[in-house]
Amino acid sequence: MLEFARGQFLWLFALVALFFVVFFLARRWKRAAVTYGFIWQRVAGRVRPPAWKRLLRLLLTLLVSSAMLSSAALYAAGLQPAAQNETPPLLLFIVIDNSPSMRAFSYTHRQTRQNLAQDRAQQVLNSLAPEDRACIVHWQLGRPVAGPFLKRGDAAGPAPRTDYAPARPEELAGCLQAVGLPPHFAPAPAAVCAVWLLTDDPPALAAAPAPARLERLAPAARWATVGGLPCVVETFGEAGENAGFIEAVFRPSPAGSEDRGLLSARLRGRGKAGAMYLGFKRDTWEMDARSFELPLKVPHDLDSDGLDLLVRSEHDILTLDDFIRVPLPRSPIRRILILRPKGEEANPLLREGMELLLPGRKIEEREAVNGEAAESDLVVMDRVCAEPSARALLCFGALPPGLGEVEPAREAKAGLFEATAQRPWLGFEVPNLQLLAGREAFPLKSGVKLTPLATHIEAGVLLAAATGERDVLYVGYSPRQSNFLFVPEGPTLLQRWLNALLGRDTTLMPPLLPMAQSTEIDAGAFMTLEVRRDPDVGPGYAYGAESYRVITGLDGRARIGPLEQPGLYRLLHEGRELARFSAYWVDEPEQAASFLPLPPLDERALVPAAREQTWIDWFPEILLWMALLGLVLEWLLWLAGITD
Amino acid sequence: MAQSLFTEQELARLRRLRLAGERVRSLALRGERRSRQLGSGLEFGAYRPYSQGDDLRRVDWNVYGRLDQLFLKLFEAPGQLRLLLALDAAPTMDFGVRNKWLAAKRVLAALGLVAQATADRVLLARYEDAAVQSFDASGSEQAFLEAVAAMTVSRAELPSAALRSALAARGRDTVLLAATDMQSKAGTLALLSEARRFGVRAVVISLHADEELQPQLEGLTRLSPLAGNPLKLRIDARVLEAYRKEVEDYRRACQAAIRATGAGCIEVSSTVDVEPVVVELLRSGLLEGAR
Repeated sequence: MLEFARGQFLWLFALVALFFVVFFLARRWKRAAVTYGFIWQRVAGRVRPPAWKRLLRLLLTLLVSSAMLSSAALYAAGLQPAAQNETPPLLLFIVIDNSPSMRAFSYTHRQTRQNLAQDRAQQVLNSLAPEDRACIVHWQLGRPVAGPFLKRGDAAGPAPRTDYAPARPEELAGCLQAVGLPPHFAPAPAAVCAVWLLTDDPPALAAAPAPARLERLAPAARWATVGGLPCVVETFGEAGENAGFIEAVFRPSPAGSEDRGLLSARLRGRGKAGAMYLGFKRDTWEMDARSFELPLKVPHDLDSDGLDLLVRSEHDILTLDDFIRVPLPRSPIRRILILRPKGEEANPLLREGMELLLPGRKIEEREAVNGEAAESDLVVMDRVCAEPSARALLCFGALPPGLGEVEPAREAKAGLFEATAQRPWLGFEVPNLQLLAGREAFPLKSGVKLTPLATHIEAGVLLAAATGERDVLYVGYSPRQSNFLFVPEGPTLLQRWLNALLGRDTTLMPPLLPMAQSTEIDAGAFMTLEVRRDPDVGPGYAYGAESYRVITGLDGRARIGPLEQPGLYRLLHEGRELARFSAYWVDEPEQAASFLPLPPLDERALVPAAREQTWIDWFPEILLWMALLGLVLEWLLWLAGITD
Repeated sequence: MAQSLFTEQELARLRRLRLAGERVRSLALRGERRSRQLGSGLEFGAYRPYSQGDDLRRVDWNVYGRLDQLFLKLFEAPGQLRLLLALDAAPTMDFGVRNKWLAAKRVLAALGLVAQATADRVLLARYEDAAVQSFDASGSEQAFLEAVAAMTVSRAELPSAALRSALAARGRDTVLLAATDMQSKAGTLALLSEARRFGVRAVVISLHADEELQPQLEGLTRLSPLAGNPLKLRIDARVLEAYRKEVEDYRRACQAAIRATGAGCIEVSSTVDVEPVVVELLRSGLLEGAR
């Protein structure tokens, strides 16, 4: 049976009837009264062809004309095999599995399973019947997401990103209902909906009968049901070994230990694990055990963001779990720069004090003038107003521009007392400083952007501090002309300030975290934090949030995780990095990258047998040929004198 | 009724022709014109048996001496002309934008009017009429014209007995004028044969319409002949050429057949004016009586 693709043009067939009407009206015999009837009879007998010749000519004319007009009408109406009366249209959901295991590499095809599945989807699209439609479905955060309706020849588009969340096939039916049907699918017969699942490891699905139109596509045993729809599964890739991390934990050493901590990891598969510091190869390790522990002797002046854990294995098919970046907690102060006024000798007491308070750091000491640039982690300015670029500033009798000014030196006898009672944001308790005295004391002028800690009864504010992007401690005593370094209160103050400074970053967040787990942090106070993924580190190309906003409770506690993508994250507060951590992916069933080979399906079976894909509407052409032959025949008959 | 045949101007011109004919008649001597009527003339005509009451002076005694029977010797009466107007009333005569039937009646009526001045009698009849209408010289012009106008087309038939008798009665004093389109030539030829038999001088006025000779037809045409069966024909130049040739051949054959009977023939188109036709006939001497 045939039907018309553009039935609205069928009215063109009326042209045939119109032509017949016009033709016969034009052929109307005009009446004329004449004499010499016997002469007219004689002439007619001589010149008029026989009746059968006239009838033949008339039939040829009608045949040629009606064939040409019918050809035009058929061409416009688009004669085609019946689609709706015999075979219902097909709405095919091409579900592409974009789980992590689909990133497994096929050494035979030199492509990932994901790319193979995407190529297959394009093949299926190219094999659709003209009136059928397909919809490519992939998974985002475990839920099916349907793309636009595609027809034969449309592009399948790029492969979907990896979705680390487990898929929920039961939501496919809801997805179908949500997207609805294409408009031309509405009339009867109802469309056949089916799912073509492209995956590497078929899920356990209940058996189902094959849809009426698709029996030839796959044997009955291959048909299952998913989300209430008939489903056929096709697998891509090949079986292979996968070695990777399944656990990584960093336990920091207690304070005072020579080690920074202990890194332990467990592996799956057969491969060698290695670890190396980022940026330099001072220490590298390689382990052949399935489970290992790596004691890290991280120096305080380590110039590295951490270390990378790597798995090396021959014919490893999945690389997503082969790499973990471990952001080691770095000491905020690794280098110290002591500036002294020009022409003045170095103060050994100040240097020795810093070596005692911050052992193991690199200390540099030099002369400087006001306004000179100075870059280090901790800059100690001994009465020199430099332009420091540092994590922390310890200022003796001078302040860098922008923070404020100090008054000229004066004498200050013992009599310092605290400015305020409680300053929890400092992170330490200010000791009793009443014994501090000096011949050179530099009180702060008003308008200084520091918080007063202690005030001299005669000289004004001599101790002040600030926190934020840069921690600043101002001491209004000259290290040489005061007892600040000699009485215990001064070094105690420095020790507490430095301890608070060093302990702020190290304990907030563990450096390693499985992305499916969550961990609790204690920020110490109510604040809004931001967790932001570093786009340059980790496997990437996955669905999931890249950043989160975390609002702590009033007590400063908050829970971070689970996260949707693996990678390196930064914990920020008002733009300042508080901590770094790595969220790594662990999903042992997926990491197995199991593969079940299934015989490939013949996509040509998507087209019903009765409706070949290459069917061409020959009718208009045949009619045109008939018209042409009729014209030639008419001409030949005229040449032969058979017709007039 | 007469106005339907002629306009006033045409009648005026015809009357002038008629006056000319009357003047000729009044000046002519009696017996100047040869007569077909046997009577008391000077020229011998024929014999007939004597019957009681006949003038004995006309008995041919010489014949009586030879045959011992009484015969009267008959002489031709002094010449008088009888004009017999015969109309072919075939249906084909009623054709043409300038109708042939009307043209025939106009020609014969004009000739009749003129002849009334010079002839003794004008006889009028269609071929199939059972009686011949007679109009003498002193008759009413109006009556003659009304009689002509009242004639209608009927059917094509052979000449009636009355028409033949009219030819036979005074054969040599009679001039026959037959108006026909020669499409049913049998009647006309029969009439001419009769005329020849009785010594009647005959002239055939052969009428035709222009659209008969040059039909303006083209394309698919259902032809409805006025006499004959209809037929469908696609008319093109080739058909028209064949038709014209056939018609020409036919008319030529008709003229030959007419002349074979000793009659004269003139071709007249239905569009031609009457007066020139009458003048031509007068000049030809056709309206003069027998010698």
